[in-house]
Amino acid sequence: MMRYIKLYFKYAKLSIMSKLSYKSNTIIGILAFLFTEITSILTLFVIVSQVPSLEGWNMYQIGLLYGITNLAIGIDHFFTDKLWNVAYFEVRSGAMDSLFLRPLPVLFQTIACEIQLEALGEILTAIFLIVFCASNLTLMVNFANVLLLLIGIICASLLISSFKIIIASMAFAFKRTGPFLQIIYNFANYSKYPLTIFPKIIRFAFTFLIPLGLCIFYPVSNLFEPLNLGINIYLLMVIIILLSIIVFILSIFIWAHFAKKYESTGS
Amino acid sequence: MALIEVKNLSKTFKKPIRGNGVLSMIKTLFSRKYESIEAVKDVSFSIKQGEIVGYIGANGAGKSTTIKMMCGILFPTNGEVIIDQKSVLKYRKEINQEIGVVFGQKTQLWWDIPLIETFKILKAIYSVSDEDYEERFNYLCDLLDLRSFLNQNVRSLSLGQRMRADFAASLIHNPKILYLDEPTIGLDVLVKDKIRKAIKELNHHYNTTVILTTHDMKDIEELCDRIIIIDKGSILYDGNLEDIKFKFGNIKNIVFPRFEDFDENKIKEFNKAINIEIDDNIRLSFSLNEVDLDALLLLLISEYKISDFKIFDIGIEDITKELYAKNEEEK
Repeated sequence: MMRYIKLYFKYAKLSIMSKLSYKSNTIIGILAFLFTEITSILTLFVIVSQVPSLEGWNMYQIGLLYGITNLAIGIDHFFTDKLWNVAYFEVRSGAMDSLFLRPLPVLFQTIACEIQLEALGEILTAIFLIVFCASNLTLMVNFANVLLLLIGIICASLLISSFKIIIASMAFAFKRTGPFLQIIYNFANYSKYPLTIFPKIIRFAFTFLIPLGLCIFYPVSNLFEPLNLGINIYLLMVIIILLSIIVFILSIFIWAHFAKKYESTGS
Repeated sequence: MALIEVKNLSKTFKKPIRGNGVLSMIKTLFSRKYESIEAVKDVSFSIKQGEIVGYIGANGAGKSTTIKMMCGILFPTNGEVIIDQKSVLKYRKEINQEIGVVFGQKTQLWWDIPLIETFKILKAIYSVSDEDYEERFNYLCDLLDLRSFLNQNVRSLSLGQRMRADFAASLIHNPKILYLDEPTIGLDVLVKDKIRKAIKELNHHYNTTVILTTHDMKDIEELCDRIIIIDKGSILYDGNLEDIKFKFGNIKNIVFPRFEDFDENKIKEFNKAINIEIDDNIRLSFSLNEVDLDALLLLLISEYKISDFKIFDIGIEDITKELYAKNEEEK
């Protein structure tokens, strides 16, 4: 385990070094994400400010939810961006070959070999939005609520990563699954809005099937008024942690299964 | 005791059957018909520690597919590869520790950072101890002349420098087995020479087993004691290089431009075993076992006054073709 952690940092260091060898490219990338985020946040505020409240949620509350979802998405983006390349190009071009030649798990190498600095643009705007909205709200801040929120953010990131692993791994068999990855992102975007505005079926899906709602929506609404789920808040934490770990482990097995189907390329 | 055992190895690729043109491409989206392409068919051989084996065949013969199964990139459809008594399928990570691979077509170096960093991370990946690393790193730097560009970014290296670096990178963990897939492709004569010398030297110094695929006859002549020839996925020949050279390799071709009053009788008188083909050029082919090359050249220069000619060895493709034809006849 220690060996893998050390190796992870070595890989990460090289990835950052490579990114910095194209300085302007990286800076432009970070700025581009920053601007995309800022414009979509502004759009959100323009729309929400036209209505007094959305299912009882005011502008700042929605902004807070939006920021926290983006933080989770940004964290995943920062750590596992290579999966996009796997799903779109790397399997098709045979570039995965060299990963199969090293005495390390292929998935570990795939994740470790890229740290996506561009995600900092997303993470920074998310943090700014969270701070800005939180300062305009009266929140119920206590140890349990903050812990639940932190666990929710980390587990939501882990869940997004796990779904990405599952879909990217299918590229080993189907060569290109990038477009399907986009679907995961579209789903993740849903959880930027209060779950209660959606029809029951989507609410159900986000709580149980793709439990991003569970990880983010409930912990955030818990900051406004106590949850009325009929379970203890600590039990909710345990459920969120277990659920995301189970999905993550499942994704590792699915990856291993599809990696056997890797065909490389002709030459 | 064999170090590598390849047992009844087969690989079949499934490809959807599709016609040409956009319309039939769309049709294939809905059809479930597949054709099987047998890239490798029932291949078996074993290799002892310290051997240098040339694995050769024409393009698309199944060389790379076999090598990829031998190092764990591809899962075989049938059969297995056993290295050091361990199945590659089950113990990929342990076996990767024992092998080094160089693909002439793909680099394994970290592209955007100085070369030295690649070596440092490989040291960590393969858990090479400090002493071993020092020893091997210095040895490889001297052998392959790497020191002048250790601090350059990999993407700025020339092909020759990159190949030498790739070669060193595959050896930093002192593997028992080195797979080389077309290691001299696209290189100039000097670099080719350097790489060949390095392979020989390594084999001598560390008793590294080398398996090499190539289209360059000279690679094989200078390095390999044994060759395995593969065609259309099956082994055509497995054995000593001298034997096959005696059968085919001693064939030479002399080619010179055609001229008006060429009289082939003089050549026929000189030696009947010479085969003459005439088109835009005149091509003489013959076996060195039957014809004295010096005497023939003397005849050509004195009698025909030719001044411009080329001498070719028979290529590996020709040997494969002839072997294949022979095999068909025997059937």
